Amino acid sequence: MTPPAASAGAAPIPAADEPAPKTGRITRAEIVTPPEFADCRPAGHEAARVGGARVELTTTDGGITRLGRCYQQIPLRLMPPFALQDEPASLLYFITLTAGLLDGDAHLVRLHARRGSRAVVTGQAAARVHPSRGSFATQQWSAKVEDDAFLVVLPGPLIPYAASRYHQRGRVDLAPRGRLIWGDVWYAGRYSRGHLSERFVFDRIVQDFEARRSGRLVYRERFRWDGPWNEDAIQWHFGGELAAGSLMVAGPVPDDLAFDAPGVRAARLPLDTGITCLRWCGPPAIVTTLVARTALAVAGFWTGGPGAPPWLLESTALAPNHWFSKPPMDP
Amino acid sequence: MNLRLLQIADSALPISGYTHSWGLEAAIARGSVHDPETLERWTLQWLRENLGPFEGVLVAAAVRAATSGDADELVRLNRDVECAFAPPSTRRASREMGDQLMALGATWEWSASELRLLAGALPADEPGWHHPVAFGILGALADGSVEDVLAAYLHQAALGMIGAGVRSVPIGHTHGQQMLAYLHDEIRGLVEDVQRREPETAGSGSPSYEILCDEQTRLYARVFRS
Repeated sequence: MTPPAASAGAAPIPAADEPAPKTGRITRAEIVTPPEFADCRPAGHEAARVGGARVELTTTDGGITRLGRCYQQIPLRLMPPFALQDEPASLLYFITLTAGLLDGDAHLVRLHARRGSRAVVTGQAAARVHPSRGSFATQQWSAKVEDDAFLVVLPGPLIPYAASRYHQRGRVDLAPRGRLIWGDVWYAGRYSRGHLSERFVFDRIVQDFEARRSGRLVYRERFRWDGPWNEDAIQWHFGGELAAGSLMVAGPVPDDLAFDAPGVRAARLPLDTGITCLRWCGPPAIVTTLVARTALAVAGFWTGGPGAPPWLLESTALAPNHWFSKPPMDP
Repeated sequence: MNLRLLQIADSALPISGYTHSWGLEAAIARGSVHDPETLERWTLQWLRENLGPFEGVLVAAAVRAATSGDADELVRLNRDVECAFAPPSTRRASREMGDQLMALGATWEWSASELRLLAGALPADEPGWHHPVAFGILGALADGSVEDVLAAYLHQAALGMIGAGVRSVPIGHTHGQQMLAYLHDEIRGLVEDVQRREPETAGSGSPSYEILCDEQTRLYARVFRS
């Protein structure tokens, strides 16, 4: 495992439809408050933290993806990308130093995948969203993907605690030949704690994701889930299951892609804009595995063609204890 | 009485609405809709979780844009629909109904000339007008208020869903009309809520519903196109 060196220092990385980002410290001024949370009072209490990262991914002469200019700010920390032997992509980990997203927390992540770079960007575990005390927690991503760059972004499953409020914003700016896979997994909450279990008792979840290619909108996902959900709402959104998953693929998808498993309902939904969506509803462990495995299988197809192994999952250099690892018993 | 609004919301309007079930046929095949009570709950969820927050918000925004002659905003709203409707069957249904409504409107004296101006703004590489945007445009040209056009849209959609259920569950027409009457309060509440939402918030996220819409296209025998 070779973690290539990172060059430190803040740098402006324009991305998507965002205004030119500031250099240096990430402040609340860069955080967008959506209309759905306009009535929330500003997060002024001590627990709230603003942090994040601005990351540039470049390639070495040998084709290894490494960090270019980079800035990181607690509570988010960045592991330098791991370049695994015989793997076409590097693995870039974000680590949250807190116990999850507390009320008022705001994470800003700006990614810039330079021409030819290949990377999986992910969090170290599920994101736990703690109860709201009047504000909301947010993670706001942007990704600029240059020609021939292939990027997989898997933020990790979301666990909304009782009375939590969460906003995820994503803005993707694709060059004509840039490719990206974005995956989301939503859990019912802390669903398996006996009589303390929490299922669909969040206050509000807002998803706000847009992807553009050459400046033109090609995908849009916006929703507002108001909890707590009753049985009808659970059936409507999750089909009565404890988890739902989603992939947005901006790039080719193999015709024979295997993306389902027993006990899970799934669909492949091609848009006329060149985007393919995949959706799942089912048990959390299986949905999580399918989202990650499918994303990495499509990425493997991109770099290796039909029959190529998925990115990372077959590697003998990566311990099988990551949230996206292939489970000991495949679903 | 706004007769023009009545006309564009008429279930007999030849824009092929009666050929679609918006996923209901798959719900019936799964057994989750099987009688009047379950059909009413299905329609209620559809209105509350999908149609209102997504198409309803866009209808209201389209009325405002058309009233102020903002063709660019109408094109932008239409693009939002195109990129947000993930299931191909429902996306095509929306586009087909929108295009047919615009074509009909182009033949009516009260709407033809202004419609030509607004519709001409759609770039040639856009695949067509979606139903909520087209309905908002025609509603504005019919001099309908945001509230009335939105209520008409939600009402015709609810009637369309119930009509599909009446034919395919099947249930009696009397039950169907009772159901619609029960939903009037829900529609009024949705109009009140949805018309105040910002256009940028338009959207809905229901993975299970989207999967159902996809399943509908693979049913062994089906009556509806979506």
